Amino acid sequence: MKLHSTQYSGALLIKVDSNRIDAAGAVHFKDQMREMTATCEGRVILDLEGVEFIDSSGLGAIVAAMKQMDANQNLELASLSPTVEKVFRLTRMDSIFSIHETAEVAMERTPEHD
Amino acid sequence: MTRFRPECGAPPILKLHFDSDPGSVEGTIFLVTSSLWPRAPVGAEIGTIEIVLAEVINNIAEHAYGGACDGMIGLSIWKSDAGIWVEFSDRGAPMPNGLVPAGNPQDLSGERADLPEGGFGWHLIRSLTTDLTYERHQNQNRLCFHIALG
Repeated sequence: MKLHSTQYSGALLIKVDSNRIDAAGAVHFKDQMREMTATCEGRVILDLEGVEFIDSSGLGAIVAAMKQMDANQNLELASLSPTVEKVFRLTRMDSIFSIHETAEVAMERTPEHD
Repeated sequence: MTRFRPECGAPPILKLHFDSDPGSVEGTIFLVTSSLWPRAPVGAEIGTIEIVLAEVINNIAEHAYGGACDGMIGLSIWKSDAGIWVEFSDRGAPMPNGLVPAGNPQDLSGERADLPEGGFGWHLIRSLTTDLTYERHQNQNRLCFHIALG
């Protein structure tokens, strides 16, 4: 699994180059997230487009990625597949994260536009 | 409604044995879904099956076999009127106190630093299955449940 990040003026956008975040890749995911978010400020948008499946270990890794961020950073999610959305809904984690339909929609909602 | 139960003795539509390796999960789920839907799989139903099977396999690998990747896991699937019956077997450690964990939802009311990073697995399994039973017999664990589909 590989993550790719791009810094925009209003947010850091991170894309996941894998169709699953699961027990086999959770630790690697968390480590890469730590590296990528170490120096940025403000919004971090994790674009889950193409991620078809997540298990409880993958969910835990996303929570851990948010917990290891600074207080002035915020992790938001975009493009949840139906199965990924189901895992967030059943565990009620959908109440913890801001979830956007797509990364494009998330990026439009920059502070300048509010 | 009379549901088929695997105890009735009919042969399963699928019977597999595989290693307790997290890398086994994806291939195993592909075999299950492709045997249930040889042509046109139904996305939402695959998602439910995938979530449940992945959580059970990860639990067996992590807890029954303590992280060892060479433990044997048996999986049998039967079709029922309303979904599928699933039976898992393994030769690892028994469930704590001989009971399946309650799988209560995690408390998310605290600060960011207090959010749980685990303990979601049994809640997901219990949310998506019914008729869950567990037996320990001759050093073997046997977990059986129904997944409603459609």
